[in-house]
Amino acid sequence: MVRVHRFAFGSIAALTFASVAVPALAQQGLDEPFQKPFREALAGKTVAYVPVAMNFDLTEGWYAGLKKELEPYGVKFEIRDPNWNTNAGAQAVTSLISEKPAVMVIHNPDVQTYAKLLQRAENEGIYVIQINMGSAYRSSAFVGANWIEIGERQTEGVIKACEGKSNKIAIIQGALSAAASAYTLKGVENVLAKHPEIKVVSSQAADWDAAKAKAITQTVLKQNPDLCGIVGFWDGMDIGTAAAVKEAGLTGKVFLATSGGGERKGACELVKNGSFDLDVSYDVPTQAAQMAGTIKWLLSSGAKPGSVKGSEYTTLIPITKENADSQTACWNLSDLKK
Amino acid sequence: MRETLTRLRYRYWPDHLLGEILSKRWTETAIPVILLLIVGFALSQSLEHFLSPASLADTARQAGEIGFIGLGMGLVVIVGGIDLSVGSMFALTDFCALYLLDVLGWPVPAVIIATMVFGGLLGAVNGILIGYLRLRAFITTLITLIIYRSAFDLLIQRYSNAIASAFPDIPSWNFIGDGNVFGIPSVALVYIAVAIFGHIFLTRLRPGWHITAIGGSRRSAYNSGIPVRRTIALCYVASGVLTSVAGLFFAARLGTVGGDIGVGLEVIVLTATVLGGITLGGGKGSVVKSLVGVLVVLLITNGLTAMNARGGANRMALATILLAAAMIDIRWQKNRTRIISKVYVAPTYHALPPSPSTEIGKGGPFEQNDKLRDVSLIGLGMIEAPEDVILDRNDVLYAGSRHGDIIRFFPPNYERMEVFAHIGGQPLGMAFDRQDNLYVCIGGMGLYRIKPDDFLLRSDRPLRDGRVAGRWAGSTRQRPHHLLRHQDRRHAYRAARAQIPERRRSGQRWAVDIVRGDLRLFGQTLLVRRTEERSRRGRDGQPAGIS
Amino acid sequence: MKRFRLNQQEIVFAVFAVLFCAFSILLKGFLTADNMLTLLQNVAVLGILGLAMAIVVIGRGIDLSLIATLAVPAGLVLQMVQNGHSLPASLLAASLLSIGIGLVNGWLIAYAEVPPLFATLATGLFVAGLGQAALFQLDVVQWNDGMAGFERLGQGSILGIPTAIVMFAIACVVVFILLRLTRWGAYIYAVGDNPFAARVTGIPSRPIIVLQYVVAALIGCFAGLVMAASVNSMPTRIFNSTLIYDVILVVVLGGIGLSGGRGGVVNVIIGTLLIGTMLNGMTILDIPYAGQNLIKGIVLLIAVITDTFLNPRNEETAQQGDI
Repeated sequence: MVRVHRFAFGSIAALTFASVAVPALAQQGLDEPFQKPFREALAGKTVAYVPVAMNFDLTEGWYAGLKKELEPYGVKFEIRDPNWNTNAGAQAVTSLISEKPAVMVIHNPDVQTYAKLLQRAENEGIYVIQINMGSAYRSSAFVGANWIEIGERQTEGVIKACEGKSNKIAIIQGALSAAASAYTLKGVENVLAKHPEIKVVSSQAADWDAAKAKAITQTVLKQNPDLCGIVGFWDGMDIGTAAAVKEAGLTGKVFLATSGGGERKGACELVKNGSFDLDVSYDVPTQAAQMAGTIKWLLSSGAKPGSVKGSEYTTLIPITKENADSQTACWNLSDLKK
Repeated sequence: MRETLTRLRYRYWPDHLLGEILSKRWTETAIPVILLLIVGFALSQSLEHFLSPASLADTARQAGEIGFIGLGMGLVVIVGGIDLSVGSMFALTDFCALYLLDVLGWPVPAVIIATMVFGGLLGAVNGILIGYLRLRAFITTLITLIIYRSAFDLLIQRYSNAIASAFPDIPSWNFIGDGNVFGIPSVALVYIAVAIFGHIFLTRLRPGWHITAIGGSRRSAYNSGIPVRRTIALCYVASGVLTSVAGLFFAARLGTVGGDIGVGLEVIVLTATVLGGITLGGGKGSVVKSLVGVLVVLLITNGLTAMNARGGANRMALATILLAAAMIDIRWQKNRTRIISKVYVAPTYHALPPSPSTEIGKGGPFEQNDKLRDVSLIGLGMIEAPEDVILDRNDVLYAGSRHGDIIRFFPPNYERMEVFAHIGGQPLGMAFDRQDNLYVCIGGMGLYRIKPDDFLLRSDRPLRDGRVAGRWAGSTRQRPHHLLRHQDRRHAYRAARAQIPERRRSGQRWAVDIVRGDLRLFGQTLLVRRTEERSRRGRDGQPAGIS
Repeated sequence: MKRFRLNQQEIVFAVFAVLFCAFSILLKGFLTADNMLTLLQNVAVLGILGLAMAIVVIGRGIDLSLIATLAVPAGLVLQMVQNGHSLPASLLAASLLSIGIGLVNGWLIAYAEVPPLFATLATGLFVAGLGQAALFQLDVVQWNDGMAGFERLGQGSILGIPTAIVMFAIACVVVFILLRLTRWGAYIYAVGDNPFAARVTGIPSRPIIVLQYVVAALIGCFAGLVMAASVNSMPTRIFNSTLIYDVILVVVLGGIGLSGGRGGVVNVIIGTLLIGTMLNGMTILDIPYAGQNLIKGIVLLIAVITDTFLNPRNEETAQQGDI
């Protein structure tokens, strides 16, 4: 009797082992069913990029970031560079519409020029992603900085530094007709409305030109040597403002707040050496990654262009002396291009 | 083989036709047109969608808009000025159209007319300043550029939000902006109509000729009675109106008053105008030139953008093409007449038989004749201009000379020479008769006969021509100085005074030696004879002391 | 009674004097030494460019590539130092580049006989494109430590006068010596006044034209270096702006006619002073930028119209092509 039990036990054990071993020997992986449609959705598709112009930190950074993310999936990434010419940009967008890429990434020079065209593009089945400067037409996605928030943050920084001082500030705007400049000004005004004690002694537009910014700042400083803060709208232009402040010997006494893309040489280094006191960065690599993510999502979702719309406002990184040295506050263009 | 090809080329190549074609005025535009064709071809090869109807329509649309401004600029340049404010006028009229449509809500026809009037007014400011007040065009339009642009900046600050939020959906407006007629955009149709009218206006109608005349020379046009100031002012008004038309189409197409509309547009249009061949300075130009220039610039800029070129490469390529085209065009303009004159000659080809040999010894008809190689020269340096030579019965060689002498050389060496007779004039042909009379044709005097030992000169009746008797045309040529001595002349004069009527002409004294039969000039003949005739003194009764 | 004639130079000077007095009386803080220096400093670079343009305009040409010559060689210096080359080597490279630009301009205009407006437009475009495509990584070329000491060319002050003004003064003296005290300057005037007569009299007109453009390019490069030193960077996007029109205004308003043969350094100084005064006064008044341009345009228009009334254009001697 015990021999039967042992035999039964042994045979059951053997069978169990055998039944387990056989599948283990011929083990197969589990197919993930979603990655193949994803690859098919992306492979061979064209993404067209129409910046305001290439050759400056923002647009180069977006280009490098998008390329890095999309090309490994077989996406063809094209540029149409209008080189600051609005008309040429409109023409580029128009001809792209007839070429029918899968996605267009548009950097608008102003709110209106491309608005009708983008609407047409989405009606014809092209996804449109707008970066940093939007148009009057909201498309599938908007990735960009909230300019009003930038203006508010800058002004708050200036006001805090002005506590106990003369309460006189100056504003160096960009170009009067540029949407980014106008939005930032609104943010500045929002905060100023809450602080009636602050007096704006000068609010001039420097046309994004560093030399003009320097000239304006020099005059303002000569007229108001007790100026406590300046709000500048772009760090590429405010280098001139900083130079004027330095020449007047007022570096450190006048709080200069600006904003920009956050590239290391243009932002962190200048904050470190004292030219800027606050640089609100909209963190270009993150924006590029967000755009790439949105493109991947849209292409693989198969949604009809224009049927689903959303916005992705960038989280701003305020760069001050405290974090100017850190690795994450700024980015290097050369790293992004690798 | 080569000969056949050469023959075919000269027989059948239409040189004359080619010359005719090249002489036509419209071949001045040859280089820009060739450039346009090359650019078009290159783009159609490198861009797949270039020749698609949609893309061509797009290009035509943009070309139409800039083409209108190009027409205006061309008109102003032909009249001898320049208009740098077209970019700002474009922006302002664009704003005007959108403001009237979106903010004030006017109907479309009223908007069109009002915008064109507004453009005309803007142009009229330029016109009055340049035409009537005679300011310099460059600096004036530069200043109006600044003024208009700042006016535009101020206006859009206030109204751009109102315009941006409006999306007018009027069918006629949309047709202006995006409409097609059989696939041709509305802009292009209107442009073609205006261009045809413009061409007829410039080349066939009187005001057009006035414009070209003023451009050629303002002063002369004024003196011819052309109303110069009015015409110039109207040209600027036309430039304003055409720019406003372009602004209308642009507003309908894009509906935007962005901040940098029209910035740099004047440079593009100016480039297109000059590239097409309308030279700054005025007096030359046509509608076709303007159109070709606009198309070339547009195609190059758009084509390079569409080829994924970065901004920098785009600019470099555009600049290089423009410069190359300009250099070739200038060379073409300068050398066109020369090329035509070369091409026009249409020789035909005729095959000649092989040329006969000229080598010595071969005996052909063209054999080089060197028979005169070893001759000895007679009278080298001693006689000037012997027009004819003749030998007499005794082998004495007679020859005329430019001084009016008949000189003879004696055999056997013909080294000894003497003056045989002095007649004057230029002795030409000579002949002897059986009686050894020498007949000489004297240039300007007639036919003379010289008897061998008897004196003869031209007497009462001329032998050949109708010269008056006794009139001797004395030679007024200069004598070689060493042959003339005043003292001798005086002596000879006194001595020979009694002999014959002498003739004075240009101060020369002539005497006739009746005995000897010579006609000589005093001093010279005697002097010459002196060396020869010393031995023969006394025989012919020369007055003593003369020699 | 001798008619009181003012030429354009004097009219512009009169306008400047009127504005100056008006601002001094009406604006508080205008007539201080500090503000005067600021006024000059703001337009120093414009003045240096005006000198370069003046040389070319006196020779009956025009140079629209000056902005590119200002931006690209100076940017090249900054970029090369950023990439690790030494400062003298970079300066040499920049000078060679600007001489090259001048030679190309001069050759095109003198030998290939391309009209100056067109030729310099194209060269400027080419150079700007070259900078964008090949020379610069980003269009704002930043300062860096390798350039230490160089900023004294544009910042700080020498003997109490801001350096930029001193640089302008140096440039004025150099150009004055070239134009008035050397033979080549006289040739430039001759070539500008009547090119055909100059050539017939044996003046080497074509090499003189090339010389004009080379000198203009070098001065433009110098202006770029001063500007880069004063704002600690080189914003190459300046090529897109309408700065070139301001330069032309300075030259033409100061009294140097575009038909050549007349004018000098004094004209450039007067034009610069006028524009500088206007800009300074309007900044103090805090007039918005578009309004400033409008007022600037109107004042200039009045000056030009007054000049035309007092000196009507002489139709007898006006040349064809005298736009």
